[in-house]
Amino acid sequence: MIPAIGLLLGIAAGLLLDVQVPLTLQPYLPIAVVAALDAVFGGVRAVMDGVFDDKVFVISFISNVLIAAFIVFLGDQLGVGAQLSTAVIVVLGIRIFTNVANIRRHVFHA
Amino acid sequence: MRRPVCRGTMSPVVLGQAPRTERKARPDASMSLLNDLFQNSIDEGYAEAAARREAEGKPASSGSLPAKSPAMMAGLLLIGLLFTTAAMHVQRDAGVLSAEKTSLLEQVEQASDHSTALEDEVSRLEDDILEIETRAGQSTVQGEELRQLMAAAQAVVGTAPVTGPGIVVTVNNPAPGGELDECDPSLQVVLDYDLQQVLNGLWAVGAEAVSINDERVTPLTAMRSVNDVILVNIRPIAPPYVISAIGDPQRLAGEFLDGPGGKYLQQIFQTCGIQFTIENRESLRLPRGAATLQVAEHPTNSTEARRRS
Repeated sequence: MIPAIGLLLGIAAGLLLDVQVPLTLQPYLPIAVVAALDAVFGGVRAVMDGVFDDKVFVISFISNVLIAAFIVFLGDQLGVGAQLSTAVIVVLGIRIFTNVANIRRHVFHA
Repeated sequence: MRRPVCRGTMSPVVLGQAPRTERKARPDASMSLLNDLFQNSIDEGYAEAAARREAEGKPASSGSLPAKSPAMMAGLLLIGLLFTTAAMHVQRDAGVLSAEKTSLLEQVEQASDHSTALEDEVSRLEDDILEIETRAGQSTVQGEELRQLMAAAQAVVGTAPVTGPGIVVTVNNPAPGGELDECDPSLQVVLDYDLQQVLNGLWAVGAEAVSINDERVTPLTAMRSVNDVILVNIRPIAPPYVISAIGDPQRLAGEFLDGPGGKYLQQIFQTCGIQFTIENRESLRLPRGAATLQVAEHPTNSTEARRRS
């Protein structure tokens, strides 16, 4: 139950604190969300596959978000930020699709 | 007892409790990006951790362990925070954007209203001027002569409305489906150049006053296209382009058709399907145009220029 409480606490904190994202970090927020989604679906699939590990989940989540944001940041510095965001979205999108398809197979056996 | 875990990027990860199978690494293992994407869509760390736990005699998944993991709590807290922040951010941005759009639209409407009001005022004041001029001229014979001279000059220049017989040339884009394959698609619309050719053709065969879509052509009129819209007197006009010309009705239509303007229209009709019609009209009324000099002055008698400014 503790993880669920953590999730609720996080949502509540986001709603109540009204976190102001610094202007320089704002372009990376959508990428961070997609990276986090990838980690979440990866975690759910791991649960289904019976290989879930809490530390791996948390570390993969944090590193996913940071690396995705960093790649886009690097792209911005090199002048190919938009293209690299597309690359990140495509890669993460494919992973999310594959993982969700796998979860679906586990749930519906189809 | 630990099994060494291979961390190769392309080592096939076998999920679940199935034993790892050794396979020869392909030479392009580190390069087959898409393959890797589809096969290893789950973090490899999960398989490694599962293998480690199995080796220690625990269940492969920690999911069934008591959910007291502070790491999980911290991670989910971060996820909740991130998602909520992003959602609120998007919502706030949408509000700001739509407010900006509304305010811009309001500004455009205000400016356009203002411009309409100013145009009305100009037209009203010009009527006043005409009336005052008429009244001032009526008192003396000399004044009457002067007034007639000025009216004639204004009719020629285009700052007074004129009536008379003439022709109406209508030029329009090709009808849907009537496009010709051999013509560049960008040329299958009426261009400013086409209208200029028609106008020149009309002047050439003796047209005395011309208007395009109720925009009178004056000596200061420019006809040009900006972003695919044709501007006449800095005002956008839309197809069909109706060009009215006052002139001798007996010969204007025929000579125009045989002259450079008509030939040009026939040519673009044949090559690009630009439609045109020429009609005779018993009576046409062309509106007044604006031709106000800002800088230029008459060299000897500049009273007129000063009075007008």
